Amino acid sequence: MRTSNKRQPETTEWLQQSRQALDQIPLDASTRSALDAQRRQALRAQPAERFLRPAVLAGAFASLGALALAINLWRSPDQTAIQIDSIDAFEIISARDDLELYQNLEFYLWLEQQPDNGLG
Amino acid sequence: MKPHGLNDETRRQLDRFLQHQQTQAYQMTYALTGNRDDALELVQDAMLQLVRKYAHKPETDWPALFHRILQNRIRDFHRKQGFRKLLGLFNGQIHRSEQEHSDAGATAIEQASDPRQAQPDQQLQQSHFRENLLQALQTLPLRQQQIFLLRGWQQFSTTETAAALGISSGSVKTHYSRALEKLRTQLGEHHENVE
Repeated sequence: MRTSNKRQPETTEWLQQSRQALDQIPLDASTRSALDAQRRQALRAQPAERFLRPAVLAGAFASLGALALAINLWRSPDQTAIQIDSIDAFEIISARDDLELYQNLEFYLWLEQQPDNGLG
Repeated sequence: MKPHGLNDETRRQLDRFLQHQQTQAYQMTYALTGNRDDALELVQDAMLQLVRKYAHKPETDWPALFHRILQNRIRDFHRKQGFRKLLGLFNGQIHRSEQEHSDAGATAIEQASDPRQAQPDQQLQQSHFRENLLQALQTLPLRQQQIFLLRGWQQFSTTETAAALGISSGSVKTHYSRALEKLRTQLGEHHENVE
């Protein structure tokens, strides 16, 4: 910026001329006076209430925490149901009886084809 | 409740800072809006915003913050203007604004031509060059206008320009290069005449 020491001056004549031209944008007395008045008015303004920010942040965190808890509680029954379902499915798949059924499938098919096996 | 407000030292520092910035801020905003009242209003908004929201920041941060606020205000202004143009509600004001701009140019030329002012030819040429430059500037996209004024006129570094506009340094370089090329092309003929 012009006020800083970081200037990177362009040396082309064209740019230099442009800068001079822009520096001379008309600034009449009434405009200068208006700018001074605006500056004074701005300095009379009260800074924003910064001390509210921590309270607002705390409130936001508390609200988010409550929301997260509510969502967790709301979802909990479903998760339990899913777990039970999964366990049931696992038991069905891994049940010894069913495994025996599949292992002796030929025998059971043969048994069913018999006219009277005395069980019915 | 804790007492709240600017202390005297901060107020003095802000006063010095804003006093130093206000002229160039107005000139830049005028170049980007083409209207005195709009420029004054936008500069006032930026001053108020800086005091209200960023007075507590270190003084070294104020330049970047002030220009960021001002450039955002200018961008918002142009968006609103574009929206009004789209709605067709702004035709009368555009005409008046163009008329005012034309009158301002005529006044500048009249003042320059006034024998009582006894301005040298060079100043008259400078005035013509400025009018042409401002007109050429307004044909560029707003982003290129802003970058040309910050980088080319105010001599912000690429990083400072990027910070003021909230864009990347690479984007600044690209837009600046395009802006210079277009302006040189448009003003080439005039430039040759002046030379």
